[in-house]
Amino acid sequence: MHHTLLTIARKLGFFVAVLAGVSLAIIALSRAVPGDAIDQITDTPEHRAELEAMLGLDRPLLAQYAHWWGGVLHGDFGESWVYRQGARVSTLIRPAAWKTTKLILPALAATFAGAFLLIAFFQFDGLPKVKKVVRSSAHVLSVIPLFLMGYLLIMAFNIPTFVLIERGVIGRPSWFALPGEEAWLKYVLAVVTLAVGNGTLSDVLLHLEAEANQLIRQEFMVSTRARGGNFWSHFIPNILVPTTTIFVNKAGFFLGGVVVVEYVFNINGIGMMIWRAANLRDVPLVIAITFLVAALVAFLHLFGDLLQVGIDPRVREQ
Amino acid sequence: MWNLLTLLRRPKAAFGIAVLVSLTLIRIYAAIWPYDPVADVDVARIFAPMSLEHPLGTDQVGRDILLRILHSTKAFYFPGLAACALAAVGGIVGGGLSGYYGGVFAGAFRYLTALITAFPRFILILLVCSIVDGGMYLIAALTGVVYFPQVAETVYRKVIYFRSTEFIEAAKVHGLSDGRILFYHILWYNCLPPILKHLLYLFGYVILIETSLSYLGGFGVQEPLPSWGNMLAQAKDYVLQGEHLMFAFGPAAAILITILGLLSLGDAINEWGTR
Amino acid sequence: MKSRRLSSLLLVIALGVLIFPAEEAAAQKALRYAEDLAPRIVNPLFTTTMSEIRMNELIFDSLFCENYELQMVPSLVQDYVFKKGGTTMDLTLRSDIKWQDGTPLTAKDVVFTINAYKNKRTLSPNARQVAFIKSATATGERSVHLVFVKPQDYPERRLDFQILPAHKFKSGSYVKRNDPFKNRPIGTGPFVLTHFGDDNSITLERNQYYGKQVSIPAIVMKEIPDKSQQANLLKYESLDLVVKVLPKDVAALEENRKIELYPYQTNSWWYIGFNLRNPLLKDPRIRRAIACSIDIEELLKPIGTGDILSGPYVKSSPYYNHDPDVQPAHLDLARAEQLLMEAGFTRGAQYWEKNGKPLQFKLTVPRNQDSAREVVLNLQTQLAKAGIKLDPSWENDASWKKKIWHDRAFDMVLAVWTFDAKEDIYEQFHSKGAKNFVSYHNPEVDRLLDEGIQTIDPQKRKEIYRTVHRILNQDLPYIFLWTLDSYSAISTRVENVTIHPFAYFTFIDDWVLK
Repeated sequence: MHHTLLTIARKLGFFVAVLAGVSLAIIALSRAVPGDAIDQITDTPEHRAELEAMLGLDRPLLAQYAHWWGGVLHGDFGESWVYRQGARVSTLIRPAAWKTTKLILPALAATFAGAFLLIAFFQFDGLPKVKKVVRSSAHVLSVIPLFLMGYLLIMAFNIPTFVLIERGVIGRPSWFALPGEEAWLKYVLAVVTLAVGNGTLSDVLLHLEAEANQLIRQEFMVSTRARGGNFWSHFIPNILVPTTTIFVNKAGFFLGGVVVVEYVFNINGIGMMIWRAANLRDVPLVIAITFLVAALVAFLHLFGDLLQVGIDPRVREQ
Repeated sequence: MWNLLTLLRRPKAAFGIAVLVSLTLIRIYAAIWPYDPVADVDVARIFAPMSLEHPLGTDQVGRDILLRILHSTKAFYFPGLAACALAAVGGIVGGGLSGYYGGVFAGAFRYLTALITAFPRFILILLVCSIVDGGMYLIAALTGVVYFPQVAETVYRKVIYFRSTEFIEAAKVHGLSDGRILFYHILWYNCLPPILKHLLYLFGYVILIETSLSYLGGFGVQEPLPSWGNMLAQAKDYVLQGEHLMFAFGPAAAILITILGLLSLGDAINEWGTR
Repeated sequence: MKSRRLSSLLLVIALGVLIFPAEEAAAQKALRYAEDLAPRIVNPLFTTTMSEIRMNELIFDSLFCENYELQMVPSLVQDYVFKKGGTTMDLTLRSDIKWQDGTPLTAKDVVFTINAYKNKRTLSPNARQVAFIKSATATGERSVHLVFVKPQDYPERRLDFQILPAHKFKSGSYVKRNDPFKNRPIGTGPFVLTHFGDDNSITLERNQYYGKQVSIPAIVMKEIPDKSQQANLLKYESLDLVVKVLPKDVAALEENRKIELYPYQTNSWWYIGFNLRNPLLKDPRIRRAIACSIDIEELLKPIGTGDILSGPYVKSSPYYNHDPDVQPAHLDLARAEQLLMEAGFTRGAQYWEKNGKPLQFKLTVPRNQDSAREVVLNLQTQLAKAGIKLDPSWENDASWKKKIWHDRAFDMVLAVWTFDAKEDIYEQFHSKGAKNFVSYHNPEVDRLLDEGIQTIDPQKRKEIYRTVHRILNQDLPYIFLWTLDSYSAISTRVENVTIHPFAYFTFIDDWVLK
């Protein structure tokens, strides 16, 4: 017990150290970028000195670092300089983060659910030809670059619907035309794109299948099957660990894909926001979003680690 | 030792190797057969339809699409290999040494990889690209750096596993040196298939990342040099109107086949190696 | 068995998606238009982007504004006293103007606005708009006394900045960027901002206190960053207005009977700029050789139509020099060869060379410039044929400003300038100009530009600026390229549309929404 607590404490400490390191890296990176916010908000060179002082651009790196952390510990991430001048960063991030969460969580769920369903399907005997077709289609679809998949989906829905509307066959659906309207279909398509595209589904499918196959071949699983014992009660706990690892690894990847998907589907989430903010050199916004995302991923890793500690006794011994 | 023929009999592997071989051949062709993108511009034959002379037609400034697709291999072939080399070296050295020796090095390495994996990777690459005016090699290097933690993780796991058995003690009793144990017996015999899988996936990701970068911000390979990513990014304006579709589907098909091949080969190797 | 059930389920879902939401989307009684980037702040003091300018037009009013003949007429002003060449002006404001919260417009608002712009602590990027005013005082409930720095000829044209409500700000102090006014801005214009959407959209409603009867009940601005989707959404009737249509979409939209294309002439022209600090480009023969190596018409053709220019004004400008000996750059390879040989170059296998080094330049282009890519690629090929190597490089806005404006680290640039009605080229070509990053310095041009600012006689101004045009044409700090015909696409639901040539929504009062 004492040992487990120590392990947990160690991992928590590690997590905090990662946060500190990530924030320093981001702040340093933001200072290295050519061009700054001041050119974005004024054409008047005479104002530069005052604006620099006002935005704190003339402070040395460590001072900026300390100042930033001082704010963050109060929940204050500063004000946006360019993107929404004068708006509080936390106010800006909240709705955007919610939108992105609405994209990423279902997408993660969909990818893993889809992968598991496919694996279960492949486990069944029979229908070899169908299996082949399904498998190849899954891989082929998965490998399409994200924005192309997005465009294709949008076109696939818009074009026929427009034809039907023009002919008077149906009324104008509330989601038409993508991606203009804020509608459930837009989110569904965005989730599908994110879940499947850029090799994501393929990747997860291949990894999971490899893990599953490896697991099934292990002696204790073979003997369980031979005994006629409960397959699933042995399978699930053991597949959970590699699944979490893949999950956590993929989460970081999703956050990248989200930028493209949000751009294509015109969803104002974190991905779009940080991309715009980076272009506009809106430093407080960029730092806040990058940090929060990194903190989330680091937290997920921590969670995965702790889960492993809980499930796998071998890990505890280390 | 390893019967490569059993590998080739798997259809996934056969397909993947066919793709890889074709890529290499195309790359060699691209090296020998010069393509001057500047000279290919011809305002008179903008969006020419498919014909014998231009099997896939021409693009919005009159350049032959098929030629550009073939010459795009120049853009990612060696950078992709560079990314793989980076990830391999970083992952093997870092993961292997961490697993074998543990201690401070392992702690520091874990911290470094935790920092890297915490960052939203694509966004990191985007940000660095907007700072530094790099080309394909920069993108490949960044992708390699961002990816090596996964390789390291795999290697680390394997090495730890071996430590938990008595394999290493037994080998030492036989008089084998640490280096030989680590690199030859553990890594070469046992880790190579999963590492190769990671690297093949990585090669595919480099292509996909370049595609996304070209679309979003016009980073990636710069005009007038061709790359599948920047061809697709330019084609997107026309795709929505439904015109000039070959402009988009040519490079898209190329990307599809290439990445499918890479993923399939990677997976086949991993399966074959861990039977 | 399983697959049959599955496929029928999928079929049902597909049909459902199409048919089920056949509920008509609520009849859209709003004018919906798209912007690439939503306004970053709705406060005329801090406006810098075109989308913000357009938003301001809907919400705010100015003392004077343009009528359909583009003459300045009183807008918020009832009466005014001014003598040509004088330094003072007395304005009487209209008595029937109310702010969008119901309070009446008073002289205090005008005085507050002018002082807020001028106040150094506001750090307004638009402070220059009121720099010509020395002071403003309220001499009554609705009378304002203005004193100008210098004698004015036509101050009405310069009194086009938007007026802000004094009662919405802390009195007498400067205005900060995070002032809450931006969250609920109040103006005297035809539309009041009612809602900032989560998706960065902005909804405006008809101002009930507006004097005139306005047909459009509501306006929605949507942010659609992907330009290729804007035209598409217009086609599908999800939008009613696209401010600037990409040239490649013009043909497709022209055929559409539900969409009307309106020419939208901004005062903007394309150019190739030379870094005159570059040792090679300092030599006028090399610049002239480059100019003689390109076929401007062929550069323009693939991207659209327009007028090829010989100087820094649009062809319809009174300052444009139409003399027959002032011509745009045109292809003359023989002359280019001669000039390069004079400059000491010899034609190598592929490029001109001197001391073993080829004649090559880097061309820096803004990433977001529509259609620039095609121009650059064609330009590169044309120059390669003439033996000059051109390496394009794209920069986004922020690094452009740093590298080009501040560091002047470039060889050549391809870009676009956009001017307002005043067509003031001082910043670009005066040696003290803030945007003169080509480092152009001609004392004669400096003198003329300085004189032009002082001159109030329109005929004299024409002469001065036409001379400047001629000199610039000869000196070649830029190769002037063209004005690109651009179009706005508006649904035929909107009638009686007139688009202001430089602003946009100036005449929206009269638009009718069916």
